[in-house]
Amino acid sequence: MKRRLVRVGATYLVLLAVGWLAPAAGVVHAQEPGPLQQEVREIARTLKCPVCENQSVADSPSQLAQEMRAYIERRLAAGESRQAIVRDLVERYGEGILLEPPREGFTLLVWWLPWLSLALGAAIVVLTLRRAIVQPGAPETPAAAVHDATLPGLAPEEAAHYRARLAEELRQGERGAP
Amino acid sequence: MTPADGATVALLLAFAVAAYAAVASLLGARHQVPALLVSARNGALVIAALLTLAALALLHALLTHDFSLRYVYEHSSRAMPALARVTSFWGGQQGSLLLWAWGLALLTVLVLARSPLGWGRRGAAPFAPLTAQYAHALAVLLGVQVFFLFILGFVSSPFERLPLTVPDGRGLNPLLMDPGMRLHPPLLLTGYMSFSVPFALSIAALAVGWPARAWLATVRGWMLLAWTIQGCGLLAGAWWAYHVLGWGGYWGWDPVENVALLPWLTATAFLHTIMVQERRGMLQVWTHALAIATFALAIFGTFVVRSGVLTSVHSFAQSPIGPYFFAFLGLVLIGSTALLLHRLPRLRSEGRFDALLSRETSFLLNNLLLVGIAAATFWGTVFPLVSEAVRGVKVAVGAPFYQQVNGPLGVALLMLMGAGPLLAWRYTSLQRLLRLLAAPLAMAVAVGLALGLLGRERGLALLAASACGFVVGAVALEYYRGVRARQRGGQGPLPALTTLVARNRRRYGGYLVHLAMVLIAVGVLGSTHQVERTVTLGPGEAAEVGAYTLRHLGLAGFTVDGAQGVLARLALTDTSGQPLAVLEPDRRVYANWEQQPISGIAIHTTLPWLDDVYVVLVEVGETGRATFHIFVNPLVVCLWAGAWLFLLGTLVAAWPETHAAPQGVRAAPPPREVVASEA
Repeated sequence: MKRRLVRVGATYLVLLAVGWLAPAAGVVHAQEPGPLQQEVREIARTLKCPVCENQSVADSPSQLAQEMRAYIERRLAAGESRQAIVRDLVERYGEGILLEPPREGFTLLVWWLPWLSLALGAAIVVLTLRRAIVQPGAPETPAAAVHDATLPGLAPEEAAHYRARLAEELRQGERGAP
Repeated sequence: MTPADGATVALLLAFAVAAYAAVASLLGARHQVPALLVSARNGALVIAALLTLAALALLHALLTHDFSLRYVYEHSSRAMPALARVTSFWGGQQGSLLLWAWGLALLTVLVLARSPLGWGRRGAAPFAPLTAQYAHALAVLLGVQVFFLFILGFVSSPFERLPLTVPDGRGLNPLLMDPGMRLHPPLLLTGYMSFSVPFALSIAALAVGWPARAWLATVRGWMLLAWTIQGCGLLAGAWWAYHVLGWGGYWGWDPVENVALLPWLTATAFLHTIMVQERRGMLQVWTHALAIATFALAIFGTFVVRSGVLTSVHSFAQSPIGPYFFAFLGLVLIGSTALLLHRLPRLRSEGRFDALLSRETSFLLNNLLLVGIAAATFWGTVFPLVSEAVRGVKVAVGAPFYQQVNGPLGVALLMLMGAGPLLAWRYTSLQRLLRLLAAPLAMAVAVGLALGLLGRERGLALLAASACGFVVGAVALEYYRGVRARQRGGQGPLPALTTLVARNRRRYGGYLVHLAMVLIAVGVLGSTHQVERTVTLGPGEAAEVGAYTLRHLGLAGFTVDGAQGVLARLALTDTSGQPLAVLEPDRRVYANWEQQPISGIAIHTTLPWLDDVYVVLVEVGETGRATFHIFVNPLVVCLWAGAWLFLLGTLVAAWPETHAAPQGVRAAPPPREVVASEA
């Protein structure tokens, strides 16, 4: 009875959480900015404001950033492509305005090195685990370890006694573990 | 002689004492000379006293407008209120470094006080010598102190005089005068500084050996302290950026932010691996490596924050403290790596990995991801310098890079956060894991389906949202299982919960921190749905942004704290016309900083959907017209809720335990150090 109550309660909580989360994230905003403005912002987000310290053209309140946003909007409205606009801006202000480093030449390094080092780290982890887990002839379970353990300085019957006791305690330990 | 002259003498004296005491401590431990150990320990006290005097002198100079000091002239002015002049203490490089050194001096005394033979411990003679381990840790801490006092005394002193007397100072950048600035920089500087203690303990353990259990219990507490301070500093920084900078965001992947995140990430990895070392006696080398890396990153961060070196290679060479910091960093890295390699034979693992599905391996994966994020962030932060040095071309590495690289790693980390705690030590069978994972997975699928079907999230963000559901489910399950086990013992649900947490504070406090990370992730995900609009409104006109309407009511002038400003009143209503609040964004100009007007941002969090309506007053026109930059930031408030939960969780986990050590695999009676460090 009690367990059922708990289960019902838990289900209710889950539903409540989902019900709370879903509409919260699902608020339909009445007036999204127009597609043009959205695209201006998307492009501006990828460009560094040339006169600011680490702010994007989209976020910077500086005069130049405002002009650059207006420039992007003008050219987009004229039907020009995103690539052409960004290319011209890079020509004028230099490669340093690209917040997303280009995936070419030397700059490829910035993109690939993190993944390479991660792969290297993963390889080290896998190798460590493999060496540790698949040791030829290594005991596979604690019980086997008990059997294989050498007990120096003990008479065989004494060792057998301790082995039995250790095995018994390990069994109890396993049962008692949460 | 003014206090400032006295402070210069105090800094030089402290330098000499630190150099002496570091050597005395080392020699005393090597040759077992108690007198040297006692004198080294007293040296630490003297340094703390001298630096306290120096800090008070700087504070005095700032409060009494002693503009004969260059630092006071450059970072404060008569127009600034007293509280703002206190923040000038850490508003510049020299003051920040003094705060660092002063904090380290006090912390060193605290470390000694909490050592087994510390002051006031039962059975400790008032002037008993230190143990060999603590003597070595003290030598390391004093060595770090020597470096900072060298910089403060000889390279970049806050007590440097101006050649002439000036009537007024330049003042602090008004952006830095916000209340958030009273909290965020000192927290980060203290955090950076506190990473010295785990480093010193690590070096001491490598140098003279330290029984593993005692060492772990000691180092865990100090690392947890530094990690908590740094975490709070990072969150306070995000809060400050959001409430003051006015671009509608809280984290810009700015170099200065990135370098503050780095030691926190490696410290997080450290706090997880020591659990493996504690339970299974494994990964010792890796633990030490993490402690060393964390300290090196903290030094790197301290240096970057106050020197602006990351803007260009040239500013790096020009910064007067640059070469010294670089040399110190090199010394730390080479010295400690050599020591670690030298001790490798001693650090053999006691246990070993038994199976792929086990808590140990989940911690390995956790470390891989955390260190991977740290490495990617470090690489992205320094890459502009590398590119400039190699190709002579400056490139920018901005938010898109970090989002694309750290995003997937962060989502993987979230998923691991849910699954890891459900795995048992040594070995978990797949069936058992699947049975445990059923409820959290159901939660993940429910969240994923709900958001996916609504079309609110897709791709990585959807996966991240599901992962959040997964972690919440897993943590709830862990709490539920714990409470139910206690209930079987006849306790009611509430007492069961409190005793459960009280008896296993590290574990259940840790879970609270995990939940805090989920809240922060939810805030981050929500803020990607930001809606933004720039509008110019005459009095009486209204604009719609998202699901909200803002009506411009009018402008008014005001003066505050040496600033003149104008504020706008905006009535906020939802689409049904229900009034929610009146927002008052303002714009002010501070004396000496006329070129840089400051926006006072108005933020209203709506209920029940937790949208932040965030209004910046951009420009004021002639006829009462004003231009506003308006953002609707969904769920950002979850970040701040997460910050408080983070603090609560760490307090639950870190509060010293009074009962016997928790049952480990090897439940040996804890050595003296454990009791001492946790009492």
